[in-house]
Amino acid sequence: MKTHIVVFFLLIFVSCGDLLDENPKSLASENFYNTKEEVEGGLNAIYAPFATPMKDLYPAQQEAYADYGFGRGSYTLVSKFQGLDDANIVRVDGMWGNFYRAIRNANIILDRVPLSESLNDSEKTLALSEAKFLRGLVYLILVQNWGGVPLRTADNMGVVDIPRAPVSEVWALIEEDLRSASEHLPDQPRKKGTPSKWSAKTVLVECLLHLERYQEAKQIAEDIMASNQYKLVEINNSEDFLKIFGTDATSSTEEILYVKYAREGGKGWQFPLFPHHPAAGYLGGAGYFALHSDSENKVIKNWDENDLRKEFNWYEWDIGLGPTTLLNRKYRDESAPSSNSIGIDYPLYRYADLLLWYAELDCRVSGVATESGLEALNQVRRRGYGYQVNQPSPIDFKLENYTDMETFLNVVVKERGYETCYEGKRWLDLKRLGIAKVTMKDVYNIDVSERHMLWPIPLSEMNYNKALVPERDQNPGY
Amino acid sequence: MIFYQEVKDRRWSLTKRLLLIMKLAVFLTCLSVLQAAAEGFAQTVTLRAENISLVQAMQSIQQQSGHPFFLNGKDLAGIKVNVRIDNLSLEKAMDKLLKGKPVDWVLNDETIIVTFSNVIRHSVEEKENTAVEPIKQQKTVSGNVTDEQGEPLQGVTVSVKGTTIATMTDEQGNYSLVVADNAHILVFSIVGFESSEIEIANRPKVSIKLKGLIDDLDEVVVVGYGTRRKSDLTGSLASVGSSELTSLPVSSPAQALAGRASGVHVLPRTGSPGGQVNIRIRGTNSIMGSNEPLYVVDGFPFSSSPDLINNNDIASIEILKDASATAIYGSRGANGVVIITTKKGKAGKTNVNYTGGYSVNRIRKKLDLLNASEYAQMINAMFENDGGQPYFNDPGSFGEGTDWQDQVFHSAPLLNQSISLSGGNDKTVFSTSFGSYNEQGIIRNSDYSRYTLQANLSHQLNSYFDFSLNTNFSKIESSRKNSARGGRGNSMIAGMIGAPPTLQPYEDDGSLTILNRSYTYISDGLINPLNYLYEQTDALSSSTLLLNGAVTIKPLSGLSIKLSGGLENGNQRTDFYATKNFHNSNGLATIQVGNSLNLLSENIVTYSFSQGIHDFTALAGITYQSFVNKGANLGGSGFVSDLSETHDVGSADVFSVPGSSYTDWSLISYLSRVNYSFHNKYLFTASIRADGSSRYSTGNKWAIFPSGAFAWRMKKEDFLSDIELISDMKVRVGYGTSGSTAISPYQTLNVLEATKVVLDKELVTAYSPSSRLPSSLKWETTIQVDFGLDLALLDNRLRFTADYYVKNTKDLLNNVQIPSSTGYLNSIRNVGKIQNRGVELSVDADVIDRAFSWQVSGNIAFNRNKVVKLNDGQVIRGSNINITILNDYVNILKEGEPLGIFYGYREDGYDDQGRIIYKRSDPGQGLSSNDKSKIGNPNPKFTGGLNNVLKYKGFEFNLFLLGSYGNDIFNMSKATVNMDYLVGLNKTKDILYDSWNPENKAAKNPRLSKSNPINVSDRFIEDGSFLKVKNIQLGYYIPCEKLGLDWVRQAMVYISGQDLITFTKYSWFDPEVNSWGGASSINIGIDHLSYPTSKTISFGLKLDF
Repeated sequence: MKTHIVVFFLLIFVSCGDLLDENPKSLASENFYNTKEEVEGGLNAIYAPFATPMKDLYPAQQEAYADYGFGRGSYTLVSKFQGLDDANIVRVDGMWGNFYRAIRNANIILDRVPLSESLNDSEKTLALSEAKFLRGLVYLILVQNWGGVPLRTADNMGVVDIPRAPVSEVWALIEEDLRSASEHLPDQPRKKGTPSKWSAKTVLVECLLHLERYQEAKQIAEDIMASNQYKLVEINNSEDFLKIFGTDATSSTEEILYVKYAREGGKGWQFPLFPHHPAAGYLGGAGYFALHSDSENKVIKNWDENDLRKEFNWYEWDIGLGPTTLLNRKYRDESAPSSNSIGIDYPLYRYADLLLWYAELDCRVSGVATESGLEALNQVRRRGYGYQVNQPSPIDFKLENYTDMETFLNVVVKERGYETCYEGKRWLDLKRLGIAKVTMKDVYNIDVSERHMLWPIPLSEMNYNKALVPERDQNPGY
Repeated sequence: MIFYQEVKDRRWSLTKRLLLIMKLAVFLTCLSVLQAAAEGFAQTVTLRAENISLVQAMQSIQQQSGHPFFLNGKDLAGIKVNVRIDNLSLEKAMDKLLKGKPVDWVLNDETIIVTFSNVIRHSVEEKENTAVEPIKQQKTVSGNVTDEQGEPLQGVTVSVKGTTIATMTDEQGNYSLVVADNAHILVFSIVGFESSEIEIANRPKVSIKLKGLIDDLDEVVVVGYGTRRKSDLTGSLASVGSSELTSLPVSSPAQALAGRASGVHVLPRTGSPGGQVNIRIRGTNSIMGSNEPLYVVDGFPFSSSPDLINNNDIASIEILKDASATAIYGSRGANGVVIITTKKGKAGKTNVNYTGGYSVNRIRKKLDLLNASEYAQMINAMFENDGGQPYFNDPGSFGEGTDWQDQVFHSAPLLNQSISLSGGNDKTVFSTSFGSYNEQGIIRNSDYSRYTLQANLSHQLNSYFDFSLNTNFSKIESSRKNSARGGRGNSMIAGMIGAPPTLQPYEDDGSLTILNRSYTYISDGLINPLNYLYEQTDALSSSTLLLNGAVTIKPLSGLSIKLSGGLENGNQRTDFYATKNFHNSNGLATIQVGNSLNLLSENIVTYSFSQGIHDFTALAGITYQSFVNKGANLGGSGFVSDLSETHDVGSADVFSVPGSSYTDWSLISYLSRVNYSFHNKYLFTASIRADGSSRYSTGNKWAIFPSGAFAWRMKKEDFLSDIELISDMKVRVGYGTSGSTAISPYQTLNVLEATKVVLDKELVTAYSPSSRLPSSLKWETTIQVDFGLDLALLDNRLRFTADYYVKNTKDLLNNVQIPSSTGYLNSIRNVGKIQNRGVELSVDADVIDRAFSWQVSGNIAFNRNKVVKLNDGQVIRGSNINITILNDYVNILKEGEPLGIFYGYREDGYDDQGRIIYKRSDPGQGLSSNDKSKIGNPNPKFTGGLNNVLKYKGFEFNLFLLGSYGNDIFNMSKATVNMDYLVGLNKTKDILYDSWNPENKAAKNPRLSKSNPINVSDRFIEDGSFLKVKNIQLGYYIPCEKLGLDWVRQAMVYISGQDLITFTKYSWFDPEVNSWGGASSINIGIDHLSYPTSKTISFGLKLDF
């Protein structure tokens, strides 16, 4: 009350301007991004919006497009391959916003860190490289799903209206960012879940695969393999896969870049809820069973029963669609305290991914399959069946059966389907290889609509970004 | 009252002295009219007239007989009489005059005293006997009587309390009286002033200032920073009295306002005990900002919800509606101002008042859901329609099954009690009360208790200094069961409706059935609703203290300086705990605490003076108010035992990220107002307020809010003064601006948000800008014009008020969408305009005013709302509401349309599979958002209330109706419950009996099939119009005096019912619902699985002694 009375007299005798100043007890942007801790806080902020769609909706959306399963409920329509309806458009719009917020946060680092007075040059380079890696990674996701997108960089942060860049320009930025990152990042990541030189190179391989620059990509893949940074985890029985995908797999020799989640703070991975039934108990008592499959599905039918990955992945569960219904149990956390505390990471890039890409690249560069590419493929296959990774095994593919490129690539993509099941990679693989429509015709006898090939640019972007013209810039069918 | 006026104008010379004994004088107002009793008056009386007031008749009798008269009880003045008296003696004339009226008369000391017959029953003889009681020792007391301005008062009756000894003051206001030595108290009374009692205490001189008395048209109402006589108002104001506020057993004054004042629209959000309501005065102005009015409690602009105040403690609520009235509140006045005035003490005998009510609440209406065998039939039909086998073998064998609504609802008691004590002497008055309100909700284990303590004190130090202190303390304890909304059975309400009746609530071992494992098709989200009732607690505990003290200095006549300071301190804590038995829980605890401090310094100088026909009142002031809010939360999950609940959160397996927050802001204001009246006929008001708020950008912090109003009391003009039909008539016109602090603190600053991300299996901190791009901002301004008419007819028995207003709100603070590729989603800008215009009518009528009386008061308001302009014509969407089968917005703002219209698809029957067809602009294309259009309007065409009070002898009957017409409701409940066929939850009966099949192609519902896509469409739009019998009450005043209970002044018992009858076409629980409502919500008119409303039967008692 005393101050109160004082204030009253102040009002009468002095200017009251100061009383109306705002002094929030939180940090202001203007003075931030200076010290090492502040810059780390800024770098961490790139992961936050990235981890949000990756937590559930992004992988769920991708998996509703897979040839080995279906979506249920509002995802039913996705599995019909005729484009998205309102409910799904709302979902992908939200992802767009989060991905671009990650890009914004990366651009803030790229803009502000060079001005820091307390970081030395090498510290600055590290921070800038991590930001570039993440920006490249996010644009890679954007270009695959939406095609050309507005290119937001540190240089044009203040500009609201930016046109949709051609696909080639997006790829050019991705390549530039990833190359820069792979040159400057250290061998070991700052923390698990952040990039190293090697994870940057892995993503660069994927980028060059898309750009069909196979020779360069193969060279980089060989570098990574020769570095001995990674190796496949050995498996004896199907449960051993939990060493790669389970709650205890905090890190494995196979991990190139996982999106990290934790039990604490409601920061769990929620995608595992999608392919589970609550009564099955794999996630305590939770599960949406919004993604499922069927033992009559062609991919599942053709999947060898001896492949430990099949047993590891699928369980029978009738969700009211008949006894042949299958749900996926790749991700399990029986003791999850609640549905937002599932302590499993999203395996975004694993060594198996790289080996299978190498097999493809080797074949593409040579024009025919060769022993080294075949060995990479067989390593993955052996592990899948529980054999020693580096020992020849009875289930090895033999070179004589797969000499021509098309046959070999078909085997690679099939193997990759078994290996990366429910990792959100299948539809994008089929699209990159140009076999999405053929595959769905073959498996489901569905003609995939052109409308289904790309997600719509969000209406909010179309309406409020004045550099966009709906008739010209919207993706086909929307 | 014409009668008063004549007295005050002193057209009657006051020479005759009057002696009076009044045992019940404390609560009866005295009226007296005296005239010189000159000689030569006629011995008989002749009078012929029809339907004249008793006062007029008595004036005539006085002129003829020479006897002055005295009406004991002010209501007597209004009694109407028909007389035909020809040359009768006074005695016979009076008997004839008063025949059939509940009135007695006596001739006492040459004065005719007229009283109500059930009040004073003493005969003339008794009075005379007391008058001649022998007087022993005597002394003389003298003094001077003045009015508040110090002007001498002539004709004041000065009497010794409890005796007949009395005298009157002379022209200088002096009196002298010989009294018994043991005489104790002097009573001063005169028409037009409050009577006052003073202890003699051996003083030879006893002087006093009398306070002007306020009645009827002279009633004083509270306006911003002062009071006005009702007759002098230039602005639009509604006043709601204590009896209306206490007639319903509700926890908040806001709830009690429903239907009581025109243009004040009260929208309950849900039916939960202590549930929040939204109030919209003259429509909705703001998109982002709060649209709730400013609440001012005893002059203190209050920041929390008004349920702090016990309705029994409120003397009156004034609602300032037009800008000429609200502009004095400047930047906070745009949504109207609700001024709550609590009861103050009065000098005199200490008054004890008790009110108590006991009510029973029960669900107003249960939903007509399928029983178990019908449910099994529906599931079978769905499986068969989809080409499968029936799921259940023998649906008929299930019978009725479980009624989950009965499991959740029960009838619940409500006990509302209040006791107050008030009184004081001429220097010090006090009022204090204690209230308790204990309501159990119709959902089991939900309750709300509030305890209030109020103490008001004022003391007059001397003629220069007054002190006053108002305090309110309230403590709220509530066990909440607010799990609502959602879909697919994932909330308490959703689970209660959706749970299959074929299942039992409990397993054989007594544990709760796990419903989502019951059937293969059943929703994974379905949770047994009993989990929420018995395995989860959500306890709210809050206390609020409001203190407001003032010193008033009156250095000169007419000048008053009021220095006041106040504080509002709120503390709140919620403890949420889900036990290990709760569905999928290992024990989950969350604790939230909040603390708010609101300080006010207010310094107002008021000066009033009159010069002949000019009356001035001017005030100027400076105020400063600061607000600080702090919050913290913590929690964890995974407990070894439920025993510790939220009280040992450190023992959790997994902690949630703790949080804390801080905001503060302040407001500095300079204000001034001038009232001027000329001839008491032309009334002018002008006000101005300058507000500086910390919330806005530098350079935009200050704004000025001016207003002006003019009223013309036409009845005072010659051309109306002779028209008896019209007893009063006034026209008003007002113009003003007021503002809205529509943004939260710090929104113009570039502050960073801290969040947590996981790296290396641990949580690390991340800092980034939020999704809102900061920008430079200023006030929202509302400019309002008001035209009003106040009309009283038939001797004030019929009173109309009509207002027409236009409100334009500009510089609307608005979330402007920016392309999300910027990394921001939106930015706040001052863009956009909204207009509200409308007509408000209210009528009060004393239809019958005899022994049997009937009073009616009604009001009706028509508001039309239009979004005039938005940024670049952007459409602003309401929030996406996600019920899984739908995840879309429902309300939008669009230029040229009313606020918050429902936007969606229109249906066009069914296809040959029984699926819904939506109208498309281009049938060749797929359904796209371009095919959406306006499908409904949640804004009512009009709202109103009608109150009837009928009295006969001791009985009082009250009937209160409340209605709303023309508003649509978007029934989101129906969308998730009835249309989400896939997950196999229970539904209302029409789904089984009226869904599409080849024989019934025009069915109400689409074909039962798991694949049943739906969209936001006109299917879910329902007419939300209703007419409710909000309250029906019969009360009886116990004749205590007859029963010999002299110590009881008044005792009344009543029985009442609330919401017993509702006329509506709306299909769900209740049309009074607003599930997504909020202070700034544009998601209006949505019914989404809310806590339903109840109907209530109450009994109560009111005692005064």
